[in-house]
Amino acid sequence: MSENTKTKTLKAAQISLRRKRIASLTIRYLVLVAVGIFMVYPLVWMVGATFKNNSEIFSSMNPIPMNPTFEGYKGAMVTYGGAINIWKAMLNTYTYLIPEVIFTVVSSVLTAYGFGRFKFKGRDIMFSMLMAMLFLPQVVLNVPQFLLYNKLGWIGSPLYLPLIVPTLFASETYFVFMLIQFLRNIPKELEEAAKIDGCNAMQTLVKIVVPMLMPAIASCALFKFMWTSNDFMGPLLYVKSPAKYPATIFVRLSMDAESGFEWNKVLAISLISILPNIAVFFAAQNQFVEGISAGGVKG
Amino acid sequence: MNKTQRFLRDNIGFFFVLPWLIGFLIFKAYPFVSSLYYSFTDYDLFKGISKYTFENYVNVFANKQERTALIITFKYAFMTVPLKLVSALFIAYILNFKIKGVNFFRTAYYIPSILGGSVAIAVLWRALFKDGGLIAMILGRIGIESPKFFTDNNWALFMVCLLRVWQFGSAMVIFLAALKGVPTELYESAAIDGAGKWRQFFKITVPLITPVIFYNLITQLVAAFQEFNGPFIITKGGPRGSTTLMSLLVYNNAFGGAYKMGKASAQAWVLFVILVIFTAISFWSQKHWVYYADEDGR
Repeated sequence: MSENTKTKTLKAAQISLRRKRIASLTIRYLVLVAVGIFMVYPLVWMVGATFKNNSEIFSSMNPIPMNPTFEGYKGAMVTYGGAINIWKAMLNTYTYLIPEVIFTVVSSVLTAYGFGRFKFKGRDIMFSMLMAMLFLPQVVLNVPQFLLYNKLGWIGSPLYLPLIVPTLFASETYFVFMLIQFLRNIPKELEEAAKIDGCNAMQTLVKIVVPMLMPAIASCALFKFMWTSNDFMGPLLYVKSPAKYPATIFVRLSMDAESGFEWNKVLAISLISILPNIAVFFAAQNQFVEGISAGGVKG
Repeated sequence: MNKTQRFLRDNIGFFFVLPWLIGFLIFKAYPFVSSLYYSFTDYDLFKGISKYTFENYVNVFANKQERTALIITFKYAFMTVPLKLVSALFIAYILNFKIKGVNFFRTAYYIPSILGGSVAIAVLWRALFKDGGLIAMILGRIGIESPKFFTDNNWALFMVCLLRVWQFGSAMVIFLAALKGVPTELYESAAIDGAGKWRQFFKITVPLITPVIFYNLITQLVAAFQEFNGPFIITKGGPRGSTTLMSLLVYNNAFGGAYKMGKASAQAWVLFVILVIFTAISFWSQKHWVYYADEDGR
């Protein structure tokens, strides 16, 4: 084989390799885009549909409305049974959501600090109980918890007691677990120095540990926000009067009341109900991704 | 320093976990134990307990409706979990190549997961797949007669499953983080040895991320066996009970007007025991297929 043909074959090989690479890259992008459409199109369509009239919604694939109208949003403001509309329902959601998030974060941090940094009598058995709670499915607790709250007179409580009170006691085991994991990776030297300087355990927690735990705390707060605002089962069981319905229950109610026609209105109500979630997600996207990949979060 | 003070100092940690302990005893342990007790009774919310019985448990398997719900729950879980995990891993694998716009795609795929638990998305699902809905219209355009997704027994369960598969994003993000941890040298040396992409995937990637596969498998299984919102909101358990999962049956018996707390407790316990068995199998089997990098000699 002469030098010339050698370079030629080499060049041909390089070209075919490059072609192959380009081909596989193209396939990858095609797959990503196709899946992306499957993921995002329904959401985009939903936004568009809220601005369409009802005859247009199911007659065109185009998410952009041909004759934009606020009919759906006007309909969405309607009050049901004189007691509840979407704004009131969302206000109701936040009446228990905000305390739930705060209580969950505070009680989870306290618990994680206790387990993660101290030895005490009965610690090991309590810690294994905590871990066991990670695997205790809610389905087995629904009935007896309902009966317990019923005995306490909390069912239908206007203060949402069955939803809020348990969060005072670090009821989200997963967060406690995640915070303990996070604590393990924080060196103890600073805390020891603080102790020598005369800080007690509580001061050390507030001044030293909490600031370092902040990224994990933010993740907990964000996930708790999402889960609670999406929570359907809790309000379904414990909220009894229509005036107290949160957004999740209200959205379902409006779908059942309207099924058949007026989908622009139903979809507008649905979209309004998740707007805060969308905003929070985009504002704190990286927190979510980091939070979920740090320990892995259900969701 | 007297005795009490010393005791307090040595056990200060206990006071930090005390709130958790109280909550654990009142809101978790007590309900858990009491529900086991109720499950052996005919507890009715208004009539109370009149007898102790094994009937509730016998019925879960003997009663056709309950047995069907159990079978449907298995079908649902075994359809949803593999589909979700395979899609999540596949997409994460593609995203892990050096691709421009990774963050954009990651966000796009992740949004359904973060919003997907909401009732709003269940409503959207109904709008998409209902008779005369968007998908039916699109299929009609290309000349295919649309199946009746929510009124056909064979389709309804799959539609509920599809809603959850659509939310593979969170599992994907976890996989993606794990894939980033696989050293690239391994791929390079495999490529030199002539291993193609598929071989690399099955011989290098999959074995190295088995702990994460294991983690995703357990969390998804536990979630799937308890699925409630999807079928409850979208299909209301219908048509003809074809999406009545066990969790819906529990709800119907306890809260849907029957107030049969004993019966519902027994159904929940059967579901719980199934979950425990599956979790135990996964944990037991992990020594055969899960690879932990920090283990000696492996």
